[in-house]
Amino acid sequence: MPIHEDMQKALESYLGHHNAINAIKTFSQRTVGKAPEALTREDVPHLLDALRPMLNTLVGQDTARRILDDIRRKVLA
Amino acid sequence: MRIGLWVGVPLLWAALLVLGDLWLFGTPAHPVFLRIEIELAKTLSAAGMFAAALSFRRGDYLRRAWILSAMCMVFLLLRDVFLIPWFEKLALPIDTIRGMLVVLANASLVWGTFLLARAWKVAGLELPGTRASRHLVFAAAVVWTLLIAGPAIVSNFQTLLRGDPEGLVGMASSIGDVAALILIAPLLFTALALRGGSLSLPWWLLTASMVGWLFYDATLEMLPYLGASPHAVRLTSEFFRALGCLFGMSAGLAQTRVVRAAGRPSG
Repeated sequence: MPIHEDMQKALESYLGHHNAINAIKTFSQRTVGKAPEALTREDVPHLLDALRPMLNTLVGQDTARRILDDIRRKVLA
Repeated sequence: MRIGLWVGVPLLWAALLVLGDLWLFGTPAHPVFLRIEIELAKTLSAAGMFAAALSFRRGDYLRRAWILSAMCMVFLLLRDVFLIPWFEKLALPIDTIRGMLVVLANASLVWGTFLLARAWKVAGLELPGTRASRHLVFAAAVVWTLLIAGPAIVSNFQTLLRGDPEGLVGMASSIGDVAALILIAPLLFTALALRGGSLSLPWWLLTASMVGWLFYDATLEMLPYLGASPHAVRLTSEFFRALGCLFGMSAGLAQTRVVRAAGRPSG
């Protein structure tokens, strides 16, 4: 499965389908200047850092860190 | 996560309130029953919201929002303590104290709801629908809320003009209601934006709670004009107050559950 789909799937369970797709699209363009389909493994840590403020707001810093660690493990496994 | 539980408990509570009221109406136990129900509902609401606040750590955005929402109920509970006749015997400005507590409760409610309602913006979520459709829904919420709570602002202002300080408290309360209830629209849009994700549940329940409070105000303002008996007005308004309080509790507990579940590593 492509990296962006892996990340979307992981985020979908928290943010829902619409916002998971939108978050990956927005932050991949804003952070690494790529379309989601062009994301590589090297881009993942930058993208996860970009997602942190959004999750910090919605679930708090501790939970956001655990969610992002979990996604990092799954996507980079 | 079983959504039925979060919705079912408030509905069951409200149904039991109606049954209890109809059973006890006209007996000396009726006012006691209602008073206990009201204070319990407020306490459960505050407890659920404090639980939500405690699921975040200091400095987290939603922690303050939940604390302020819970504090509204705490101030209202404190106001209710001063309704005990014993306090009338003390040389205290009881009316002023009660009035201040109502003002503080409304300030907490508005500030807390405002923080919750703009969480989507702080988080950078994209709301569903076009900008025009969102503005339309927001405008509808403003008109509907003003229709329901607006007359109370006017009548309280008239009371104040007659030199009665109770009017100031009533006005603060009505303005607080209007300000908080207008925010139903962004709460609903946040729930819709997160639909399908576990984080949407608290926002759906918060919206339900605010709708409960909206109907609480609506029944108090409108039913008397429709010829309803004082008992029917009281029972209907208490039904919606119970829903407002208990959905608030559910929202807080759902927020706690969601944050904890999200923090557990999967697979």
